[in-house]
Amino acid sequence: MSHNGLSRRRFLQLSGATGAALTLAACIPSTPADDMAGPEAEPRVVSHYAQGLTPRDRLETDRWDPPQALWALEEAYKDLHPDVDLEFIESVASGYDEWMVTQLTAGTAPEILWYQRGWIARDYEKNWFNNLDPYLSQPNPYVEGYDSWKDTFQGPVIASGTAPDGHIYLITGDIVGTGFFYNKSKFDELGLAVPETWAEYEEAQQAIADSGTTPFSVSYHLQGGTPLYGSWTTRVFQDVLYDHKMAQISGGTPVSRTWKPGEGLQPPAMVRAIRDGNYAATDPEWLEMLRLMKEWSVHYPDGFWALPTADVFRLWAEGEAAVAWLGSWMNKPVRNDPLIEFEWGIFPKMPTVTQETSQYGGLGFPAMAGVGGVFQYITTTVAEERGVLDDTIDWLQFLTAPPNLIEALNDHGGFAPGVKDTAGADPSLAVYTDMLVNFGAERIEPFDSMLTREFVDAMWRNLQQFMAGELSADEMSSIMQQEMELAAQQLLNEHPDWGEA
Amino acid sequence: MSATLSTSTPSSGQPAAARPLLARIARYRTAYLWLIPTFALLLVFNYYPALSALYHSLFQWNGANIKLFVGVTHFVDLWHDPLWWESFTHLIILTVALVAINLTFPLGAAAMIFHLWNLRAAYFYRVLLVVPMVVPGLVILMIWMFIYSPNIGLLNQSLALLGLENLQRFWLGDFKLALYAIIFVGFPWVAGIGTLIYLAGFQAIPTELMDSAVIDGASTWQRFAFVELPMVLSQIKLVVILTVITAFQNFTIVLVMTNGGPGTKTLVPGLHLYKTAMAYNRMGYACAIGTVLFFLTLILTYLNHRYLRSSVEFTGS
Repeated sequence: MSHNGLSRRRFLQLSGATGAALTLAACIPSTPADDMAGPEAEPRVVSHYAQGLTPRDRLETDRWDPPQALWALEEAYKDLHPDVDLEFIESVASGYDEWMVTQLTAGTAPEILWYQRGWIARDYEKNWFNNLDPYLSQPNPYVEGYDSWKDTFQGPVIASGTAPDGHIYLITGDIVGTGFFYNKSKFDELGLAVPETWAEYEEAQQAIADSGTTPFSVSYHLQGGTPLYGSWTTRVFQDVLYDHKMAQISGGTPVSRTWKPGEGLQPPAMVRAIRDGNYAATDPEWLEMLRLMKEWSVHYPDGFWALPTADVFRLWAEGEAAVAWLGSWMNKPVRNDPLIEFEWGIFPKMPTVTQETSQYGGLGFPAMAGVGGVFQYITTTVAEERGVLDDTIDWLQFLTAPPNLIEALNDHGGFAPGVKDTAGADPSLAVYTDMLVNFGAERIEPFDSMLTREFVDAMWRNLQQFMAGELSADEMSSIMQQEMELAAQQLLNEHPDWGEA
Repeated sequence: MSATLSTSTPSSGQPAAARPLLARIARYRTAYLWLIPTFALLLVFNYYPALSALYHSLFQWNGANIKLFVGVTHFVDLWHDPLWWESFTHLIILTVALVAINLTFPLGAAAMIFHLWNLRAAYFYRVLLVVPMVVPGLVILMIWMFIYSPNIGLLNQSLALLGLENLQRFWLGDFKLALYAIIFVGFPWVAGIGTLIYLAGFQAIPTELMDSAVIDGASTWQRFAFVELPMVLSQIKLVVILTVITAFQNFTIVLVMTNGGPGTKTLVPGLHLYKTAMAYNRMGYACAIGTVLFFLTLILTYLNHRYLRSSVEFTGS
């Protein structure tokens, strides 16, 4: 009987060769969409990491509706541009900065990325994102009555995306705020009024502690806690304690407190102040900040440096803590969470550190609020490489048309719109914008974005140890002075022009 | 020598080594062709990044627009970097602890399974130890984070239930205990590849050897200590090498559970490298850290091979 089938050897050879060919084929980059343009061309894809606005389905565990407005806006946009597909990148759970840097370095980033405005000075020379000036100077085709796209935004909002070279790299569309959320029922039960001074606040906290409730819910966990609460606390305290030295730090020019980004102390001024000894971690004002923070910490939850960040809200919502420092992004959760069974309110302002409490006190705190929250987007340079930069810009223009922006932000519920036309905006967010406009934002924030990221990490590591009692104030001050000088020197090496006023 | 003889070709009667290289390649071209994809992937994904890291360790490089040749400056800086030394100390503690753990618990579990008379029971327990390995590592870490959670965690709640509130701690936030809490993750450490490696070693021991030990009157302990243990020395060596390499490379556990904290109490060189590269954009310095770790692992692997030899090597021939 003749055998016409393949031999085993031949079969294996053919299988191997086919497998290798398929592997090689998979490694070949796909043909650019432009080369395939034609009646049946594939839609052009714009991918967008929208951070907190990323739409998703409601899960069984959700206690309030997740954001979904971008799906509706996507549909409306698709009606106008059927040849463009929008792709929303799922949330990046943690380590966003690292993920973003990896994507940008590798050239695999989405066309639109959420981006913290404070990082611009660090990254703007790396050719990772586009200068948006040419687009902002043109009218937004989706908005009528304005000369330019830029003109549709409130001035300080869009200006917040300006790099040291004077160009705008970031589309900022919202305003964010924080506040002391307090358990009004608990305060009433103890006969406490909202304190106006730090001394009154200390008395109130002691009364709350005596009643068996934690006075202030906060976390100094390194996974989010210290970078958030440590940052806010040091920024507002320094603004007050260094008030009398602001002009000296800035090199002679007075620094007024406004809500406009760019009018506070900027990185080059901070670097020069550190170099010239006008700002140091060994300053008595700096040590005073540490003293006030340490004293306050007796009213924090036990083991607050190990407390998961999510527990800050849980402790407050379940009535275990009387006050929590929360942000406007919790506006919707707080209003909808069935866990909250008490009456609550927001301190209209942080209690003032008077001279009774500190020799450097006297000035009220600024609002811990500012421009740019969930709506801060860069367009990455890969958008141009992929031939979709114009589509990317067009989608952003559509998204920032006031009715669309307000639809997206209202749906999220935690951010006020940063456009001029705010018709239809959620009125419950006015408390944050009022605080920002009335009290201004902090003028000095050396720990978040002014110095190097390495310095920031060192600051949070050491601050956590200081707050947990592992480092003394003098040790903390001495270590941070060294770190500060190193960071300033590094920045001066990278930007020699920063050394001159 | 025997290897050389075994490759001689009967047709020519000439040793293969004497043939020109190209002729030998041509003769075995199919075999070489099959090897090409493997080596190509190794080159692209293993050797090229390693060599690239070595090269870039000599540059001040931010991964984007700054790239200046700085020679061995990064290595000198590393020598004076207190964070490196602190993280390295933690790594030594972790490595020693993990080696000790992997030399005892999985070995004990494998020995117990091996000695089960009931083969069905042995099979059952073997499967029982393998099943947890299919659970993604990240999920296990999340479960342990919940166990350690200071307020609602299983550990502190269990201690409270037993009336041992005085033993409750902020496990991952305790400056003295955090590193040990990390080591404790995975307790009782038997559901891993180590147990399977040991078990394979035990099963390869010739039954004649075991029988003669029994006939000679060796007790259970004597058989374990003087027959079985020396016979699985190759497996022990392998587990030690794998443990050391894993300990040096892996930083996922600290990244996820503590981010190196509290303070820097759980920082390890891998996490230091990762932050230096991805957070601080100091890619050149990160490459230097990686290069040093690579050579340290290489040296430790060599020492392991050199000084931890099995008295009997089964080659299968």
